[in-house]
Amino acid sequence: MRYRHASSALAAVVLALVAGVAYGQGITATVNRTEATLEDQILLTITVEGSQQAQPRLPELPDFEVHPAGQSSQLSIVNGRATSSIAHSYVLIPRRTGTFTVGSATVELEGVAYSSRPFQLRIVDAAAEPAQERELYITHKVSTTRPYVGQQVIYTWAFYRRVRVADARLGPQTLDGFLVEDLGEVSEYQTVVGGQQYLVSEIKRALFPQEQGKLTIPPSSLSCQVLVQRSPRNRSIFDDFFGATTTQNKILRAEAIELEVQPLPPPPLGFTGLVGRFDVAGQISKQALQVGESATLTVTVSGSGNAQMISEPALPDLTRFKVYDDKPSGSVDRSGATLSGSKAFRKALVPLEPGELAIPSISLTYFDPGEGAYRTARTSPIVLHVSPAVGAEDLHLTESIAPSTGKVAVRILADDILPISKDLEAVAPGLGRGAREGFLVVGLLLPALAYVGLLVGQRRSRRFRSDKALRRRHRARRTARKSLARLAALDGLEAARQASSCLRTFIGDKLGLEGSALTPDEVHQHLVEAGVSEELVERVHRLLGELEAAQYGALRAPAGELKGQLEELLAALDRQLAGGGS
Amino acid sequence: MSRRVLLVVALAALVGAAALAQEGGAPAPQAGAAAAGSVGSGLGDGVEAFVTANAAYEAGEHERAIALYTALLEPGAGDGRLYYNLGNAYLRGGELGRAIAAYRRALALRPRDHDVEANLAFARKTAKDAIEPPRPSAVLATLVFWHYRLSRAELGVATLVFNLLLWSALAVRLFRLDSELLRWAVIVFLVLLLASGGSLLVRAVSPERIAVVVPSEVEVRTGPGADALVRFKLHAGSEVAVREQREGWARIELPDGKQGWLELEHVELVEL
Repeated sequence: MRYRHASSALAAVVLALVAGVAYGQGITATVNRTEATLEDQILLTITVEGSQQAQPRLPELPDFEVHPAGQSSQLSIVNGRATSSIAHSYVLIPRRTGTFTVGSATVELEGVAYSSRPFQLRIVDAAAEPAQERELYITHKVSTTRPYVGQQVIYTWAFYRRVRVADARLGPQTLDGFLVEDLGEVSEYQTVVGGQQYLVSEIKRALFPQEQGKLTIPPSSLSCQVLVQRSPRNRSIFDDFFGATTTQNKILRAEAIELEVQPLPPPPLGFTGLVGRFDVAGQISKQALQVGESATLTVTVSGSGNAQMISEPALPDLTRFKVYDDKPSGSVDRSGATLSGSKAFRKALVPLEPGELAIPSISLTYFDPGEGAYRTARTSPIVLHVSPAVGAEDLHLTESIAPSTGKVAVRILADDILPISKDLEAVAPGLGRGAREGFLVVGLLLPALAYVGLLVGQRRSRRFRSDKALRRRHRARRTARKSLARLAALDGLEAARQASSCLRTFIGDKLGLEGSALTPDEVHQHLVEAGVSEELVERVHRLLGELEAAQYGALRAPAGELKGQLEELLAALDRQLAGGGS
Repeated sequence: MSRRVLLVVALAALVGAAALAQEGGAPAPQAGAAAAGSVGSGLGDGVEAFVTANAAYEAGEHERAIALYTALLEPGAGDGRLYYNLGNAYLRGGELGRAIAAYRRALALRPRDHDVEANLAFARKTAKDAIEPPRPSAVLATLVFWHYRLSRAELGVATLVFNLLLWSALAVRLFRLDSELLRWAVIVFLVLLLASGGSLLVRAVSPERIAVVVPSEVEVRTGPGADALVRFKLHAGSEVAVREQREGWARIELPDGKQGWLELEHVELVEL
């Protein structure tokens, strides 16, 4: 398919070039085939010469489904003249058989209208081909076209093929007016039709018409890709790389099926809606028992037809028994060729008096579509031989319902939701979402930060403990402040000595020297080496000289003023020595 | 000084934990009393609306009760009990899907509240589809039980407490009080912190989302768009896992692996 598409496109381009030399502008419509079946797809290519933007107008195609399939543009230069063209592709899917004229595609270029030449397409029915020539087809059928309401209709859909296909997709199909049950899995088998062997995929469904009158099973369709082996003649060198198969799209169709659904005749009493063939059987677990003992009666309804609708048959009057219901159990079998099923209804019967107690026959009325009439199935009557109770006269409850201790399990009679909460905390103001997240982050980070703080603190104190000079340096200011505090109480000679010692000790602590032994000149030298500014060194030197002189004469400044002066000096020194790289 | 820092940190973390706990299911008695006190003074509106809503519910005015409860449930400040009451109001008002969604939200906030569990079970009984609500596998539910049995707030408190304990244990070790016991304590607290914190992180980063069907019947399609084919149908109250969200549609998955796309306007999304 793709190959053919390519060759036709090539042909169109060649034609276009020829036309382009002659006219420069125009429109052509080409198809890859002029004869096709309803199952085929036709590729229509509309080529516009002289423009790469032109959007051609398609002719009316009421007999085809039209799907766009891309476009390709081309620019070629022949003998120095440039021609441009654009090719639009469309896939046409035939809707009906016959011979159809495809009208002109039109385009307007620079104010001039161009139109392509009309041509004819012949569409034939694929089914018209001899069966052995059809490589693949689908069929569907029903077991009867005149069912009764509720009757089981077997719908069989099959896909026959003797070529390789891929990507098979069943088109959507809605079955209105039916109750649908799938029967079994998709079955695959080989069969021979018209001397040819086919692989068949088959799907079976049970349909139950829900209303009388005309019902339609809509047409079925299946799209797939057929894998086609290329003929050796057409093979190119690339086929060795890319495989010698190509694919071809097919859409297979099967016609709609009309059903004429007949109403059921007026139903007799006791009819519960079962249509098909059903039977009812009764069974008792034991026939000889004592008063107060229990026996289980099992009534089984089984058959084929709308078995989902099996309901409990009416029990005859059992006044001489106490009757306890048990849960019914049932199953619907969808694996066979038809839908069938059975349901068992169990009763525990406790005879209330001795004697021959009969359970009359139980009947089931259903509609048999095969005979077109209502039928009634019956169980055979059962007789129980009940002997008087040996022990106490009082009744035992059945084993399955109550334990032998006589205690009865609590049964829930009715259920309801629990009442609302009236707890006022429900509207107590809480944290917003953001605040909660904030709390979480802070709560997670704080302990970690505290730990780090603790760690740093501990490291520092350990270093202090081991490094004496560091400790002295660190505590110099504090020591000096303590000795300054004492200064206020002194005067005269003592004050001068104390101040001098304080200043020298501070400098000694800071520089790691024995401060009290330093002379003013030594202090001067050390401070200069430590990088303290000239002006400050000079001030220190001057003050130390003054203090020394004061020890031998009178102190000029009072103690209070001296303290202020010293404090200022210490602060300046502290700053410069901390920054100066002590 | 460092001891003082520790004390402050411990207090801050405890206050945080208490604040989170109050948000969760089991507030400490003191926190409860404090809350009640502030209700009396400043936030009487909430209490009044709550009492009115309860009265409306009991008088059978479910619409009004729903409106009042919804107004009380400001985003981010929802209480499990309010969602529970809202669920009751929806259920009485016949809105099964919204009721189940409200119960699921209540259960996410109060994971071990038996009243919520009972009413959720009751509501689920009336749902039409025979599908199990999405549940973690038994192995997961046992192995990482805290992830499924604790609310977000409870996990937050656990994370804070284990964090505090871990760092405290590490701090004690700093003071050379190291012992075998302490080393094990650090390991245990670390594991507990990772478990609770990891669970919290997983729930914050990729919360489990479920969709609860609200209308009586919705169509689940093969793709996100009204033109995609209808794959199957779901009915009110069905809870399904949400795998992906895209342009007003959610890709949902049933317990048996069936997948499809549901329009978001037909469901209530619940983040667990």
